[in-house]
Parts: sequence; structure tokens; C-alpha cells
Amino acid sequence: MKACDLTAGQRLTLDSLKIPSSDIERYNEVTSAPRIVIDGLELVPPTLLVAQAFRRLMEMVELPDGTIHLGQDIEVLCPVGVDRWVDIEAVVNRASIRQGQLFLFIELWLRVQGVPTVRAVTSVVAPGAASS
Amino acid sequence: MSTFTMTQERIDDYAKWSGDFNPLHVNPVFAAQSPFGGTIAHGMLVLGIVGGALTANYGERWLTGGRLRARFREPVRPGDVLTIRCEPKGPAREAAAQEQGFAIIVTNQRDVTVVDCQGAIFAVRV
Repeated sequence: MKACDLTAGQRLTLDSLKIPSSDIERYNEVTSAPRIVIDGLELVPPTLLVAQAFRRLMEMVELPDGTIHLGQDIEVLCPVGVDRWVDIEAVVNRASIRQGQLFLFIELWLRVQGVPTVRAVTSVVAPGAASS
Repeated sequence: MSTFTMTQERIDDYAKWSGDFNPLHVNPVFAAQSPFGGTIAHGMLVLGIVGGALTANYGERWLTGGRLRARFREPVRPGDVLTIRCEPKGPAREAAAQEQGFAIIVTNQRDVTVVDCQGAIFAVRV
């Protein structure tokens, strides 16, 4: 699916994800984030979860080269532990073309066993929308 | 306050980790032809650094409940030295006494704001 085919209100069910401890370790190395363990359970950084959810979105929706991130909202509703299956639903809040550029606002809902854990809104602008 | 130096190696590492190989980030030839004139860091990489600062400042409170609104104002380029300032604010909402508001401003070595964030940490809910 191409990004320019998305329409406001469209819902996408993305592939579920599971974050192993090794993935958190690698992420923390790149971002210089500290590791957090509570009562023996390692918690997944919310920004990591959103980054991986965004990756799942990109696996389904082809974003043109040169797409840039304008903003990111994240709301943590419930912590997510390592090795938990996380289901992801994406909702297109807005898809509009201005001056040949596609502006997308996509809401991501992450749930563990049906319980909402993270809500995120990603806004991007993609070039060449008129010709893609 | 903390500082962080962005490098192309770190951008490439993040691309491998995230699977985001947008040539604006990893292809110097492509990026040189773009309006940016060179490669730039992924927004989510910079946000990961902000998240690291939040974890360092608020620990489990950020990982268990909070919200963040980030706006990417300027590109972050290899070689940029970022300064991350985290300032506590009052409760973001009058009725939410259990919230601790905060602002995070990320500036580069020219003191230009590259990311600004507003948010709040909740009392632990679990």
C-alpha cells in the first residue's frame, strides 16, 4: 500500500510485536537510555515501542524516500514488560496534500491482551505526493 | 542537563535497529541533493534520546504512565552536539494534581532548538 492511498478514518491492523531484552539493550546503547527493571521485570521504553510500531506501519505502508517526521505524541497508559506480545492498530487521523506534499497524522494504539498500553500520534510529511 | 553527540555511525546503527533506511538518513549522496544538503538523524532516534533523559530523570514513572508531545523543529546532523534540558513544570491540568508537568528542550551547538517537548508524568498507576 502506498502512503498516498491512505484516507482519513482508515484503520489498519499491523503485525504484532514482541520486544526481547536484547532489543532493549541495543536500543539503549544507541539512545544512551538507562535500563529499568521493576520487581525483576524489565520494562520496555515507550519510545522503543512506538519506534517498532512505526516500523510495522512502514512494512505495510510504503513511505516515499525523503519522508520526514514532523512530530510525535506519546501517551503511556500502562507499562509493557519484556517479551510481551503487543498488538497494534493504526488509525489515519488526517491525510492531506499541500503543495505536492502529503501530510499524514496517524494514531497508533498498542495493546497487550486487549489492554491499551500506549497511544501515539505520528505526523510525517512525504514529498512527491502528487506523482506517487 | 545532559549532552549527546550525534554521529553518522549512530544514525546507521539506529537504521539497522529500526529498519528505517530512508536515504535522507543513511545515503550521503541522496541526502546531499535534498533541501537538507546532507544526512539527518531519524526523528525517532532523537526522541529516543529524549526518552532516555526522561527515564534518567523520572525512572519508572515515565515508563509506567506519562505523556509527551514532541515537535521536531530543525534537523539533527552528524557532528551536532545536543544539549538536553529537562525542566519540571506545575501540573499540566488544574484537576490533575497527581501530574508532574515537564518541558524538554533539545538544542544544538549553535543554541538552536531542534526538538521541543511538553508533557507530564503521572503518579504510578500499577
